[in-house]
Amino acid sequence: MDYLIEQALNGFSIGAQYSLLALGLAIVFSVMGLVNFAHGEFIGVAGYAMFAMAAMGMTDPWLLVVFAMATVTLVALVLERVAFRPVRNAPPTTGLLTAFGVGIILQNLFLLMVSPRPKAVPELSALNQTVEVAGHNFTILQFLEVGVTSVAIAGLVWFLKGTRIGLAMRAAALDFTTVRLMGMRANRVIATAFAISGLLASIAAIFFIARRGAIDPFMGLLPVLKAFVACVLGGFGSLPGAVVGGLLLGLVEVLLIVLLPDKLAGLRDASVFLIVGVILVFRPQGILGRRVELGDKTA
Amino acid sequence: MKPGDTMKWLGLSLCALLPATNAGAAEILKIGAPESISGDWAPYTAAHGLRCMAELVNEAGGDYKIELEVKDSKSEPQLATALAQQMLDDGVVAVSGTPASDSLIPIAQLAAGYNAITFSAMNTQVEMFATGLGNFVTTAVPDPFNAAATAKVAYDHGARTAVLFVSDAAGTWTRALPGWFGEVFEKLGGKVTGTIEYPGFGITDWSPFISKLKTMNPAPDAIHISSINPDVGVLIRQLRAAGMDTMVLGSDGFDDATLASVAGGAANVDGKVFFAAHGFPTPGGSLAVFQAECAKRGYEINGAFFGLGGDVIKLLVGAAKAAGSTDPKAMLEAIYTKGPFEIVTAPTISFDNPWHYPVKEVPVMGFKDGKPVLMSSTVPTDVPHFKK
Repeated sequence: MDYLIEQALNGFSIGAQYSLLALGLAIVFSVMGLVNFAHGEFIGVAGYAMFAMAAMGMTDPWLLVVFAMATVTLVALVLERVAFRPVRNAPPTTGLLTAFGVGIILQNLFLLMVSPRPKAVPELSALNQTVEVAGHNFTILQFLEVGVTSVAIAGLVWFLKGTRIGLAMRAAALDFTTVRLMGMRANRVIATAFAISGLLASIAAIFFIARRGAIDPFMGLLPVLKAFVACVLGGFGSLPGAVVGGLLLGLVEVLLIVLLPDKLAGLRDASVFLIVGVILVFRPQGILGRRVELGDKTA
Repeated sequence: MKPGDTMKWLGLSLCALLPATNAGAAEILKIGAPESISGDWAPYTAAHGLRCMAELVNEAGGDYKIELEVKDSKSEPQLATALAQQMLDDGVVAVSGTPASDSLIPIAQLAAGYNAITFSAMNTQVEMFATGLGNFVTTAVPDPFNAAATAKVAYDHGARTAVLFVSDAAGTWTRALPGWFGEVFEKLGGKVTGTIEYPGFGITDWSPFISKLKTMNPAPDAIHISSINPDVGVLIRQLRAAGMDTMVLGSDGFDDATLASVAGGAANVDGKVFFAAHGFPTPGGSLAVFQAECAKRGYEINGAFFGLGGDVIKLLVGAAKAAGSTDPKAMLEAIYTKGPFEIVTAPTISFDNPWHYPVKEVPVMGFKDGKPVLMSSTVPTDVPHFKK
């Protein structure tokens, strides 16, 4: 039983990270129809920002966290202005290629300006301390992952429902032209979406770095692919879908580690995608995705 | 050793490469190296060691001048193969690739058509000797030697039970090597109590696997994993965070200067982490001298892998000298039959066995105060796999 409780929390904490990243992808996609594959590199931006500041003597973990979050949000805004705004009205494939290009440029900047080798960022390692709750050992980080993700999602829901710009973003997900006709500035709506996606990615990055204790130029590649799968699973463009997809993906991955015998462990990844495939056969629009209606955006 | 002695030693060692007579222009030895300067294998690249030794050989003068072309394969087998093809078209006598068989086997097959040698500074996979390639040379000992040396040190340090972490990520290096460790470990009196499969490289969160490990009864004294840093560093960090003091044993993938810091510092590795490497810079020894000289020239030293790059250049020059020719076929014949050759990571290396794998001392490292220390340096005799 202890084992199952421990693994369930493992699944939730991994799923929470996927959810945060998937939400960032989904929010940009819902507003401007862009699958931002450079989103994973925000993890790298956060990591290298912390590494640089720690090297310059900033050792307070809270300051490093705040600095990393501010840097990623700023970089997300700069990328929107410099890289994505010029291709906003181009075909979706142009945006997709731009995203890949931005990702490659960021990876190579880390590689050339720092090192191709991993660098230790141990400043957040205190979060890996274990605490005993009802006879079970958990790390502080696992609770933070689940707790902070819940707060971030609640904050996002409030922002989308309780503010004018949030309302505009929700409306833009359905029909951007009408939103502009109502007097909202497109640049502001899209820039806000990027800022939120950067902020969410920076929270995920803090968890990644606290757990891993090291950074390398390509550390964002795998997480963004997982986030993409989570988005597809939950329903692309659906924000609750991104959360559900991320959590489900994390839980399924851990469940297969628990259930599959070691002899069949080679089939673990295949099994994850088989499950995703089966879900999509019955729910092609994703778990919480909705069918496109007349007048809605299709991309 | 005084700095003057170091230079004297280096000078003498390079002079040993020179032929007795030094008349006429130096013969060109053109070498191509699509190396992993970035990507997964970047921490273990031999590119800088190759460059530095080529520089030293050329400065020392002599019968052979090295023309070395290094390009970044980004650790991608396909890109390495394409770059190797270009280099072979340019007339190199020897060419490398990314350090795994998925690039080296196709490159060796390509190179065979050009009568060229395929080399790897650090490939250790047994499949390279089982696929009938007649033109492959590596300066790193094969995995069964690595596993045997680690098993002996683990047993001597009190480990009696072990769990093996295995994966298909890098062929036999990640799957069979832990098995060979287990084979020797059990022969010594230990017991392998289980295996845990992990999906591959790039794991950020080992928690589900650690939870699985914690349920094993009895809890193992040690785990063995053959993987890359930072993955193994993260595993050690998370094991300790989960309250597990288990000994962690590994292969040459552990030999990265950042391992201890990624693993969470001295307390997490001292006396509890051991791994087989490809060389240890004993003060005053050839590897230490080579590394010091190259560091002065501005090269970044990435552990023994840097020395392996130096080994390759010394071996190829030594082979040309022994063969009396820069014809790759004659050089290869000399490598296979006319050893031992002097190198930097060990006193000598030889390939005179039916498989033509390299035979040299295998150092096993541990940690003290977070710094790597030498635990043993032997040529293992009871080695699995090759006896079959």
